Amino acid sequence: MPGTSAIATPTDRRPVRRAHPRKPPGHYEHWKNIVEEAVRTNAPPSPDLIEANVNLGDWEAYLGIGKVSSFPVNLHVTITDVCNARCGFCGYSPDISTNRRLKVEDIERADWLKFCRQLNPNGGLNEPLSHPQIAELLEAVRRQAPFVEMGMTTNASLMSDRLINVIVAYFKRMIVSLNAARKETYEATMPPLKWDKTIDNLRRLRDAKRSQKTDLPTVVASVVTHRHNLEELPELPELLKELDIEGLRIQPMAVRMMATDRQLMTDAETIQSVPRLANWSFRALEANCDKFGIRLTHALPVFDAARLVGTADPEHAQALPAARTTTLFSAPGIGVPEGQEQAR
Amino acid sequence: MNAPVKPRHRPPLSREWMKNYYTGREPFCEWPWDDLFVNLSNDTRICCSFFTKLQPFDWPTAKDFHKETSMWNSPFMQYMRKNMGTPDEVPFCTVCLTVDKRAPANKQLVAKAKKESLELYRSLQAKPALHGTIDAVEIPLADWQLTPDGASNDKPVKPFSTSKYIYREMVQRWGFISKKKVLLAGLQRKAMAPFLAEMSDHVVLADFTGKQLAATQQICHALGLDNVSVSDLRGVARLPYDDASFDAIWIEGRSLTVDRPWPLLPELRRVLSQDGTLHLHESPGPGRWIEKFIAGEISHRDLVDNIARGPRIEDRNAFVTRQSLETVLVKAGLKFDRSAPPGVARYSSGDESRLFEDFGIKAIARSLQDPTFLDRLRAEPRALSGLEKCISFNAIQKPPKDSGEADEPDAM
Repeated sequence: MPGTSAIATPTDRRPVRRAHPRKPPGHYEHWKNIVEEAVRTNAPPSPDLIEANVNLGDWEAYLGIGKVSSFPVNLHVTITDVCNARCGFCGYSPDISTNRRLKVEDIERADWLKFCRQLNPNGGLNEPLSHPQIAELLEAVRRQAPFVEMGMTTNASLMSDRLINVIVAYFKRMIVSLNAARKETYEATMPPLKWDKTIDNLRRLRDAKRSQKTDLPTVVASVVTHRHNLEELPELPELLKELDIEGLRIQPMAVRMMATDRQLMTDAETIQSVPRLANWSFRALEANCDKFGIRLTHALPVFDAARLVGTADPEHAQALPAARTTTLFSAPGIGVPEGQEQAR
Repeated sequence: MNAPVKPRHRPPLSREWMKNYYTGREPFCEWPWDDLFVNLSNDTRICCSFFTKLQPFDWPTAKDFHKETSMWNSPFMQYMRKNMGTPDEVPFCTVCLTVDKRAPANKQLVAKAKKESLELYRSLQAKPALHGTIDAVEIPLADWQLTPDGASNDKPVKPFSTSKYIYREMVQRWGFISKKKVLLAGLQRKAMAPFLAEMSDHVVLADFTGKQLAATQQICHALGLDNVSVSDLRGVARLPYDDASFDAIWIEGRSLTVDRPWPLLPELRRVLSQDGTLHLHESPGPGRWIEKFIAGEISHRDLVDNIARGPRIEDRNAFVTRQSLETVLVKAGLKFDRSAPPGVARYSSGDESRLFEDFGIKAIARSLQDPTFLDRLRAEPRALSGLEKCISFNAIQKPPKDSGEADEPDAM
């Protein structure tokens, strides 16, 4: 593997020539003519235009062309900076929001969207469905670019019937931030969202897809794991199966932010603080994902059993950080007591 | 559960290139050709972990999309694409493609690459038309090192060499480009004047204490900036300017705490043109006053009284919070300008721990009444952690009620 050893400065690491890995299909001039002609004649949107633009972009990268004629293949646009959840691991707070929004007029002016393959209305810390004109915005995108693949990450708490119809009609992928398998944990992790409401929305989305006989959007549940939701993770696949959710994305919580309006979870609440529980939970989750046909989008971590605190070195067991009692998880029955983790 | 334990080995590469690693292919980044990230300020990036925000995206039409003045084919984008995989590659791209840029061990390497890449980006970006000769100042800058007056930790700054881009980006960020007539009120930060003057037709340098006028004007003249005039505001009964005579006003936060017998904001509003911009730079936050209390500069009684009176700009004990911007401005007929996201500086203790559980003004006021809390405030290094230190923001004239434009509700 070239270029992976440690060298002191960025300048030293500069390559002599790093080659583009593969030759794109067709000919550069061919795709360039198609795209330029489409711009000149304002050609109507079509899958062929998207393919021509993707191939032109690949050729320009292959040839190392600086001044390009292609359009972005993947567009990621922040449409709002407001979120309706206050997750215990996320640094979003109203302080950082200006309540500005992407305007429908901006989309209507962007007659080049028809060349893009993907559009993601996410960016920064926000909930895209909290945009008050989200349906109009997505409809405007669809008018400009009926063949663009749309995908988004959402907490699914704001899905009205109208929005569900828009989502089923327009979206190809959806990642739902679920972050729990039980009501108590969900409502403690993502206040003020309500478990029943979100699950009901997901059921209505499932029913809408079934009634329209479509598999789209494919839905993946996303869970940020910490010590308070580890124990219930193996319960998730059965729930996801019931909701027709096809995949599960597990992300270990990283503590790196401060929210101004609340105390966030700390290092003592990461999965690293309970490695044996994490190993048990992830292996059980893998087994249940196999059982219920849920695809894991990422390989789950494995903590080295020989190095587990409290196993090989009993003295280190004393150094295991105790769970800090937070306002989030101070209610009895929520999260995993330290003793229970030891019993695994 | 008998699920097999699967060993995981992480190669020393950024996670973007894992697939290349495992398939034995050399990493090659196609993101500058393929991906565009646009935020609500229309700032752009090429990937999630890019080293800087790039040129703003002006939502062009397809016909204008590829012009060199547009973001997608801007000089830096062209450079980045042309040199991808060559010895002249953008240093940040090189680091991303050859080591794990997120690994703590590579922190210094990444920081250096970011710095080099930023210099490259700045050198390639189109500059607005500039007056004066700031770019011609020779290094070393023995005679041009300035010391901010009144700062508790006076340290010399080199605004015309190392900090030049920071000042210019600050002026541009707050929209002070190509303004006809600008008022700079408060000269505690002398270096600000030349950077405002080089991008404006005319700048009036006004000082509430009169102490800095001569020195600031001298600096401007030495830099070939004759488009400045001075105005001494000591003892004036009101601002000595005509109504609506400025396109933009820049006021330093420290000037808010200067004694004056007249209300500041209504006067600033009077001399600001109808579509003008008022910028309040580093207005003190509540943390400033708590810092003063810890340092023994103000009494407990004064601190509690001041915080309990709430955010305001009218008097010499002024402070604001991010949440209060709408309300403190509305009294003076002004409105918080949402098009320029405010800059909020907070105290940091290096980690996420903090003493104040709640940063709301009422909660802060309550905490300050508790004697045991005061002891911890004086003793703990994290005492100020998370509190608002200062806030920079833009304000505009509030439209008359009958104009039909309804106020938007504040953020959730």
